Amino acid sequence: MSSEDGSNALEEFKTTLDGLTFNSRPIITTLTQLAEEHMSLAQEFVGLIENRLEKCVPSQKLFTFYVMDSICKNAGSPYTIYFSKNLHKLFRKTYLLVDNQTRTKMISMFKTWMVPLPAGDLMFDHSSLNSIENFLIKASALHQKSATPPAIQQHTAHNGPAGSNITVKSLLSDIDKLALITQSKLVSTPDDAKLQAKVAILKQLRQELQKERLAPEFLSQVHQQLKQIFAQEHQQQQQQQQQQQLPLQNNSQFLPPSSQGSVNNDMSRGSLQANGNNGSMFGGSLQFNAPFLNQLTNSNRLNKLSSLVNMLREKELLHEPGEASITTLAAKLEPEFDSSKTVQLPSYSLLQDILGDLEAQRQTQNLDILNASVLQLSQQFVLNDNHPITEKLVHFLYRAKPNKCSICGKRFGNTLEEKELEIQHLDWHFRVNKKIKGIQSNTTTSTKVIQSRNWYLDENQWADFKEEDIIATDIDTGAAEQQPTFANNREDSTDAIYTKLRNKYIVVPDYATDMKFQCPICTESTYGKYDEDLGEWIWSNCVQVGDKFFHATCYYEAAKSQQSNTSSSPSFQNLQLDLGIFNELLQ
Amino acid sequence: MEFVEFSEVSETTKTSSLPQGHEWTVQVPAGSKLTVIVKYGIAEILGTELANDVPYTFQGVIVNIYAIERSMIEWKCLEELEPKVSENKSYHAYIYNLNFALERLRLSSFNGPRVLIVGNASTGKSSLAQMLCSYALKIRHYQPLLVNLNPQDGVFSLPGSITATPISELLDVESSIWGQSITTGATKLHNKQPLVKNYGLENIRDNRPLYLSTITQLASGVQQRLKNDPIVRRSGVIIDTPKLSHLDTEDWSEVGHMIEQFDINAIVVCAESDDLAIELSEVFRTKIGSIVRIPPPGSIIAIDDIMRRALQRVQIREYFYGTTETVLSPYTMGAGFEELTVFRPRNISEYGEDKKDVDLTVFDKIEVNSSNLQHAIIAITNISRKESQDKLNTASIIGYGLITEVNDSKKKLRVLLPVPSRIPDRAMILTEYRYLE
Repeated sequence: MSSEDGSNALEEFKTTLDGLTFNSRPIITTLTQLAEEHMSLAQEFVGLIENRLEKCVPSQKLFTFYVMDSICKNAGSPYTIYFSKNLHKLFRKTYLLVDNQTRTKMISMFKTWMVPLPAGDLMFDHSSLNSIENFLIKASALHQKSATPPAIQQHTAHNGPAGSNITVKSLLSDIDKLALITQSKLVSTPDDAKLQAKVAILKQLRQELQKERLAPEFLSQVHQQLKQIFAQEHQQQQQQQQQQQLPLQNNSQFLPPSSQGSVNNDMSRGSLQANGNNGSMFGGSLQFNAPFLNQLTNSNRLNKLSSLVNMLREKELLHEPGEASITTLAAKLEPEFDSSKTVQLPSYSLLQDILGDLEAQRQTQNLDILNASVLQLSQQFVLNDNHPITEKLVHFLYRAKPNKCSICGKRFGNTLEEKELEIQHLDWHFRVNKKIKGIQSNTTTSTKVIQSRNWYLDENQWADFKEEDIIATDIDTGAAEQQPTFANNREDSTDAIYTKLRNKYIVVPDYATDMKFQCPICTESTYGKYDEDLGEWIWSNCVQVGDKFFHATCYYEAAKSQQSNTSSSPSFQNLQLDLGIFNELLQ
Repeated sequence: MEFVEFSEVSETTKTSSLPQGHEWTVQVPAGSKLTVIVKYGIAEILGTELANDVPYTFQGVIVNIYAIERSMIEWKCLEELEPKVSENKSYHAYIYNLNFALERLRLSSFNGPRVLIVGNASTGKSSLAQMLCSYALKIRHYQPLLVNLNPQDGVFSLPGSITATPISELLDVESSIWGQSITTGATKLHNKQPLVKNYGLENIRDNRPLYLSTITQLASGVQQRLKNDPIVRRSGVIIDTPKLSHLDTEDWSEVGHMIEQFDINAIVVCAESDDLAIELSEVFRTKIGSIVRIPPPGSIIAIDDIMRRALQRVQIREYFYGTTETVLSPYTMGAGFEELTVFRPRNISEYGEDKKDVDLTVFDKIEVNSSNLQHAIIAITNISRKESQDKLNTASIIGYGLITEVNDSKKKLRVLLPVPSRIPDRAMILTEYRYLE
C-alpha cells in the first residue's frame, strides 16, 4: 500500500467521521470497512476517533462510541488493544457530560463488552473494563441518592424528532440569560465591538424565534450553538475569576460544559452535589449556569448599593468616621498590610497546651492534699460542684503532669524521677510494639505472633502475686513468661518437665520457606520467631523426630498416654512415638 | 490518569467539637465498629485519658467521651450512630471531690479506703468504680483493687464470675471487659491479674447462699492479698455491686455480708434522692464511717435486657478471641466424655416445698451429654477431678471453656479453651451461660 493511499484513506476516514452528527448506520458501516481494509493505519484511526470523542459536542459522542464499538467487534485486534488504553478515561469523561438517556445507552453498550468473545476472552483489557464497571457502580449509586423528582426535560436533540423537547420558550429564556451576561460585560468594556455585535445578534435571534414557528431541527441547532456560546462565556468568566482571586463560594461548583474543558476532580464532584437538585447531574440543559447568574445578580446588587451609598453621602445623610477613628486608621493600614510578612501562629492546641500547663503549675503550687482538712468523705463536700480546692486539685490529674504519652495517654511530671519513668515507659512501648509486629520483617507473608490467654492464678498464687511483675518496665518479658500455669499444682517434676519441653527449640531449617511447621498431633501451625540471644530464627517448643517436626509438649503427652494406655489415641499409633526420645530430650 | 473519586457517604469521617465539661455518649451496636480519634484537647473515657491522634476502636459497647478541656474528636462508623452531647460538669465535679477525699484517706493511713458502691440499675455504679480506679492511678502510682460482685458483668473475665483485680496500669477503654488478663504475648497495654471466682448462675435470687459463699471465697483471697501487698492495701478497694433489685433489700443480707467480708468503711450510694442513703446509714450505722450519695449522671444510657445479652456475648467473645488490637487464639480440643467431670450449682427454682431443707451451696455432679453441655460455658476449677467435691466451694477458677460440639453417639465432645493445652483434668462447673459461635 502506497503512502498516498494511506493518507487518502486517513482523509476519507476523518471527513466521514466528522459527518457523524447523527446516529447513522451507513456512516458507521463505512468507517468500520475503512478500518478493516487499512489495518496498518489502525493507530491513526484510533487517534482520530479518540480525538473526536474528546472534541465533539456531548450529544454526538455516543455515535463515535458506536463507531469504536463496531470497529472493535468487526475488526478486532489491534484496534481493541489500542482502544483499551484510553477506554476507561474516555468512557468516564463522556459519561459525566451526557444526559441520562445517553448514559443508559452507554451502559447497554458497555454490557455487550462484558460478554466474552467466542474465543473465551473479553474484547478489551480486563483492568480497563473493571475500572469502568467500578465507576458505573459508584456513579449509579450516587445518582440514585441525588435523584430528586424526575429530571427536568432532557434535551435529546440527537434523537431526531425528539428535538421538539426544546421549546421556543426555553430557548428564549436561554437567549435572555446570554444577553444579560453579554450586556453586563459590555458595561465594563463599552468599546468592544465584538460584544456589541453579539448583543445585536442575540436580539435578532430573539425576534426571529418569536416571529415564526421553526422546525425542531433548527431549534436544536440553535440550542447547540447557544450552549457553545455559554461554554465560552463561562470559560472566560472562570479565567477572570482566577485572575481576580475572587473568594467566590460557588466557584468550585461550576461545571465546564464545553467538551474541551477538562473534567477536573473537584469540579465534577462538586457539581454532582450542587446540581443534584436540578434533577439531572450533567443533563444537557443550561442550568449549569445558575451559580454564575447568581453572581451576576450579586454584582448588580453591589452596584446598586454603592450608588445608594454615594447618594446618601451627597445628601450628607451618612456619618463619616473622623480622622482619629479606628475605622479610618484601619483603612489606612489596610493597603500596607502584607500577608507575606505575617507570622503564622502555632496551632490552637499547642497554645492551649502551653497556657494550660502553666496555669496548672501555678494552681497546684503549695497544694497539700493531706493538710486540706476540707477534703472529707462527707455529703456536704462531695456534692459541691464548684469547690475551689477541687478546681485546683483537678490539675494533679492532668496538666500538673504535662508530659502525655503519645501512644497511650498516660501522663508524666517534670521531676527527674518522673522523667526517668517516662523514658522507661516509652522504652516499654517500643519493645512491646516490636514484639507485636513480630516476625513480619523477614518473611514475605506477614504473620502475627500467635498469642492466647493464660490460665488465671489460683487464690494462693494470686495472693502472693506482685503487680511489679506486670508493670515493671525494666524487664523485657513482663509476667508472661514467668506466669505460673495451673501445672504448678501437679507434681513438681511434671512442671519442670513442661518447662523444659517448652524451652526446646529447633533452628528453622533453610528449606522451610514459609517459616512454619505443622505439628502432626495437634495440627496447629507454629511460626518461627527470632531469638535475639541466638541470632537465629527458631521454632520454640519443637522437636524433630525423623523428618517430622512436633510440638515438644504434644509429642511428650501423646507418647506418654500411648505408653500408659496402648488402646487410646489410635490415630497417633502410626506415628510410632518413642518415649526414649524424651530421655534424651529432657537431659 | 486522574480518577473521579466518589466519596462514599457511609464512611465519611465526622468531627465533633466538645466544649469543656461536655460528654459525648453513643451506643455502638454489637455488629458495628466505631473509630474515634481525639484531634486536640484533653478527653477521657471513664477516667482514662485518651492519647491524641491515636485511633480507638469500639465494638458493641457504650462509649462516653468526656471533655476535660475543649476537644475535637473525629469519628467514623459504617452504621448511622446518633451520639448525644450533654453538659455533665457537675457530675464530674462530684467524682473529683470523692476522689480527692479518698486520696486524703490514702495519704493519712496505710490502710486505704474500702469503698462499696451500691445503687439501682443504670445509676452509673460500674462507671464510677472505673473512674475512681483510673483517677487513683493518675494521681500517684497506686494499685487500687477493683472488685466486681455483679455476676452478670464480666470484668477481666466472663459473665458468671466475680473478680478482684489490682489496677496497676491503665484500663483498656476499647475492651468490653476493661482490659486483658495475662496473655502469652505482648499487648499494647499492660495486662491485669484477676482473682476469679465462679457463681455461674444468671440471677442471684436463684441461689443466694451460693452467691454469699462465693463472695466469702473472693473476700478471703482479697484479705490475704491485702495482707501481703502494702501498695494494694494502701491504694484501697473499690467494689462494684449488682443492681439493688437483684439484692435482698429487706434484711440487706448481701450488702451486710459484703461490708463484713471486705471490711468496708465507706459506702457510695448512686441514687437520685437521699432515701437509700438514709436507710443504709440506719441499718449499718455502727459499721460504716461515711455514706456519700452521688446523683446519677444525666448522660447515662440505660442497659436493658437485650443490650445486657448483647454485651455478654461481646464479653464472652473477647475472653476467647481478644480484640482487634490484641488478637487471641483459643484452641479447640477434642475429648471423650470420660475425660470430663462436670458439676452444676443448685437452683432454688427447681426445688418445691422442701426448699428450706436443701443445702444450696452443694454442687451436683451431672452427666456429660449434649442436652446438658451443648454450647455451654464451663468454669474450670483448680480442683483435681479426683478430689472430693466439697472442695468445690473453695475453688478458684483458672479459666473458662466453651463446649462447641457434643456427640452423644461417639461419646466425644470438643471444647474451646483459651489456653493451648489438653483439657485440664480438673473439676468443672457448668454455668448458665450459653454461647453459639
